Amino acid sequence: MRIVVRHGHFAFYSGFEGDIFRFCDYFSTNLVRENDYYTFPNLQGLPRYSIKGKKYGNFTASKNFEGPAPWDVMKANGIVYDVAGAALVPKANFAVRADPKLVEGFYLSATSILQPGALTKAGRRIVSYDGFLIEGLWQLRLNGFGYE
Amino acid sequence: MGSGMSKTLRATCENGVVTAENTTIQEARVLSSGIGASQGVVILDDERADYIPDTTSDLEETIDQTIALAEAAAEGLSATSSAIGVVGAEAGVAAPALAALQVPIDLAASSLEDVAAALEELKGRLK
Repeated sequence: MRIVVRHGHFAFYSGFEGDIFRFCDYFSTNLVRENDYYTFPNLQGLPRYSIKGKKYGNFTASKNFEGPAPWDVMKANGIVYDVAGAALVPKANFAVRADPKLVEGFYLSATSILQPGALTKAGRRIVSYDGFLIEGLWQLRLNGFGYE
Repeated sequence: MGSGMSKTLRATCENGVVTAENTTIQEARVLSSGIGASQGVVILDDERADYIPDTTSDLEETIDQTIALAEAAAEGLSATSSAIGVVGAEAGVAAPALAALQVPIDLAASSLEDVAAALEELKGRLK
């Protein structure tokens, strides 16, 4: 299963039949269909614009913004999806560390789901990444990252 | 980073305060005087929010008022011209002398009627 996180927004792309179901079962979570990918329920249907002072999902938007996609709005408002809390939160809320190791051509994450907003040892905040979740091992192998 | 598409929302504005989706649009630019209550749209493009009022009804109202004014003035001038004719005749003023007074008044009244007609036609062409 491919996982693409863009500015804290999650998109899961099915690679094999049943992989979405098995992911949800293993992580005791739920994913919903959105366009050509699956995502967490609280990310479904987010508009591509925000109005300062008005709720954007669960979060009160800090600016007026219009962009091509919901993740552009999240970037503009400085928010990411908190996997554990199932909510949109300021990325600055996270002090968790993440230092994926380069292994045989990919970066191996210590966790199956890397929380966007996590900080590297160098103090850079990861907000985007692109990789694959290996079923069975539930290992997240990343091709690359995007920092704030 | 704009999308090239922008987002348009129905909005209202009064005293410079723009409202859309039951929320005050903070930092919105009001592309009108923004004082009187109006309806229109707010356009979100990247970080900009611009409010544009729908002025069609305002314009129609202004045209109607101007037509009424022109027609009233034309009527008044016509009445004045008639009165001059009556009073002058009773006072024994020669017809040519009366005509010299009445003709310019009648011309002015006619011009105002033409203006009213032109405005009526303009109103009909408003999109």
